[in-house]
Amino acid sequence: MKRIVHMGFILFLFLIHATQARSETQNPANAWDKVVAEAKKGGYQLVTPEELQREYLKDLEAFLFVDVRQEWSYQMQHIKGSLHIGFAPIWWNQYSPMMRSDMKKLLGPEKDKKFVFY
Amino acid sequence: MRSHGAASLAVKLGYKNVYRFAQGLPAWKEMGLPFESGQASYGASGRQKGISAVVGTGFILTLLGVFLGGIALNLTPCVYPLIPITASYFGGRSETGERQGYLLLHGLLYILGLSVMNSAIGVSAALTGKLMGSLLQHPAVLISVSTVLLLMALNFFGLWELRLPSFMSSAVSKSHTGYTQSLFMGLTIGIVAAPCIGPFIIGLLTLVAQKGDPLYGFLIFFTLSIGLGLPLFILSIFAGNLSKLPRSGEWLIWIRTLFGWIMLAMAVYFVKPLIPGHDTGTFILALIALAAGVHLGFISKTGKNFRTFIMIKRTVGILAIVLCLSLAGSVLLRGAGVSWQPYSQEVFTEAISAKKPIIIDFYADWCTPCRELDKKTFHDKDVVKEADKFSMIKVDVTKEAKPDVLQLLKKYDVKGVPTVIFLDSEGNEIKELQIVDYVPGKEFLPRMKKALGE
Repeated sequence: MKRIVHMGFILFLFLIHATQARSETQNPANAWDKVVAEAKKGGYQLVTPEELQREYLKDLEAFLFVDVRQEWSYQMQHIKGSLHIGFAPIWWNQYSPMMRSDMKKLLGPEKDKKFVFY
Repeated sequence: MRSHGAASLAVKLGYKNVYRFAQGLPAWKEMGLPFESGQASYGASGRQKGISAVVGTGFILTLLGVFLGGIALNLTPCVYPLIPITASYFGGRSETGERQGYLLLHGLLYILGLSVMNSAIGVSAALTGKLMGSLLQHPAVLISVSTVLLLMALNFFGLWELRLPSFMSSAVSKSHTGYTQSLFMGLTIGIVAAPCIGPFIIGLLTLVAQKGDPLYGFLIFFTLSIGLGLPLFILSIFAGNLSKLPRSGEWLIWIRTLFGWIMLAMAVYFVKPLIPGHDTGTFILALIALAAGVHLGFISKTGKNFRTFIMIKRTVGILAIVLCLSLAGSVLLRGAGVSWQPYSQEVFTEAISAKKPIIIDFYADWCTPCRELDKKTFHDKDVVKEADKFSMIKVDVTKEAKPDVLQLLKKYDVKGVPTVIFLDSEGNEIKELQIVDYVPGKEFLPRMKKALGE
C-alpha cells in the first residue's frame, strides 16, 4: 500500500511538471503592483526616472548606481559611472555569505550613501 | 528580478538609502541621461582568487544549508525510486552473510563514489567557470550519457548482467569486486539523478563558477553528496541489520523492469535536443510511457499470487498511460513549433550564404517574455509555416556570452532579451522590424512578410 502512495506521488510530480509549462501566465497590468509589493517586502524605496533625472542633473554624484544585470549587458551599455555586481536571481543569494561580503565590499562602509540598483 | 534581490540584500546589510530603479537602463536613456559601455570595473562580477571564500561561520551555514538540501533531494522523483533498489542491494549483502563491518564499508564506499563524482563536477565547474549545462549540451556528451543509460536499461531488462570487464576483475581480487560495485553505484547515481536535481545543481554550479575557487566547489559538492547519500546509507545499514525491507524476490524483477523503462526514458530525454523534428522526442517519450504502462501493468506476469502487488502493478500501469496521454496531449494541443538552429559561427555563415532571410532570436531561460514568445508566437500555425522561408537562429545568452556572441550582440546593438532581429537575404539587418518584447503571432507575421519583401 505504501508503495502505491509513493509511486503515485512520483508520477504526480511528473504530471505537475508536464502541465506546469502551460499554466504560467502574466498580467502586465499587475506588474507595477508587484514591484511596489516587492519593494515593501524588501524594505527599500522605488525611484522613478523623473526623480532620478532631477537629482542627477542637480548633483552628478547624488547616487551610486549599481548594475546587477548580467555582465554582458553591463559590457554592452550601462548608466554612466555605474558599478557592476553579478547578482543571479537565485533566492539563496540573499543569504550567501560570499554575496554579502561582495556586496559590502562594493557598497563600502558609508551606510548613509544613496544607492540605486537597476 | 535581480535588482529586487540586490536591493533587499543591501537593506539587510544595513544601508539606509537604498533605491531600486525598476524601469532601468531603457528609461534612463529615454530621459536623455548619459550611459557608457565597457568592461566591468569592479572585480566582484569576475572571479575571486584565493580561498578567502571558505572561511568564517557564514560559510559553515552555507554548507549546512547545502547538506540539508542534499537530504531533501532524496525526495525528488529521480532519487526516491532508487532508494529501495540500493537498500535491497545492501540488504542482500547482509543476507549473504557479510559481517556488519563490511556492510558499513560498502555503505561508505557508496557515499565515497557519490562524493567523488559530484565533487569532480563541482571542481571542474569552478575551474572552468562554466556551467554543467553547457557541457551537457555538447552532442558527444549527450550521446555518451544516453548510451550508458541505454545499457543500464538493457541491464535492468535482464538482457545482460552488470559485470566488471575481465581485466578489471582480475586486477581486483574476487572479494573486492563487491566493494568496487558499491563504489560504482555511488559514481553513477549522481548522473542518474541529474535530471531531477538539475535545477538545484545548476544553481549551486552558478554559485561555484562565480567564485572560481576549486576548494569552494569541492566543499560545496562534497557536502551535497554526503547529504544526498546519508539517508540511503543509514537505511541500508539498518535494512541489512533488521531485514526490515521486503526480501528480494519476484517483485524485484518487476521493479528492475520499471527501472529499465525509466532509464530508457532518461536515455531518450538526454538526446531529445539532438533528435530532428521539433516534437519527435516528446512523442518517443510518450510512446515509451505507453509501452511501459502496458508492459508493467498488464503484460508482466510477476507476482500473480499477491493481490496487493497486482493492484500496485495496475496502478503504475495506468499512471504511466496517463503520463503518456499528458505528454502527447501537451504537444498536440500546442501544435508544432518553429524549428530553431542554435547559434554558432558556422551556422551563421551558412545561413548567410544560403541567401535566405534570417531571423535571430536572442533569449535567456530566466526571461518570461522570451518563454512567452516561444510558447505562443513561435507555435503560431502561420508563423511556423512562414518560418520555412527563413533561416531561424536562436542565441542563448542565459549564461555568460562567449566572445563571438558578444560580438554579435554589439553588431546588432542588442541590449537585452528577448530581442528578435530580421536580416534580409543579403544578410543586412532590417532595423525597423526589430522586436524587443513579447509580440503575438498576428503582429509577428507581418514582419516576416515584410522581411520576405511581400
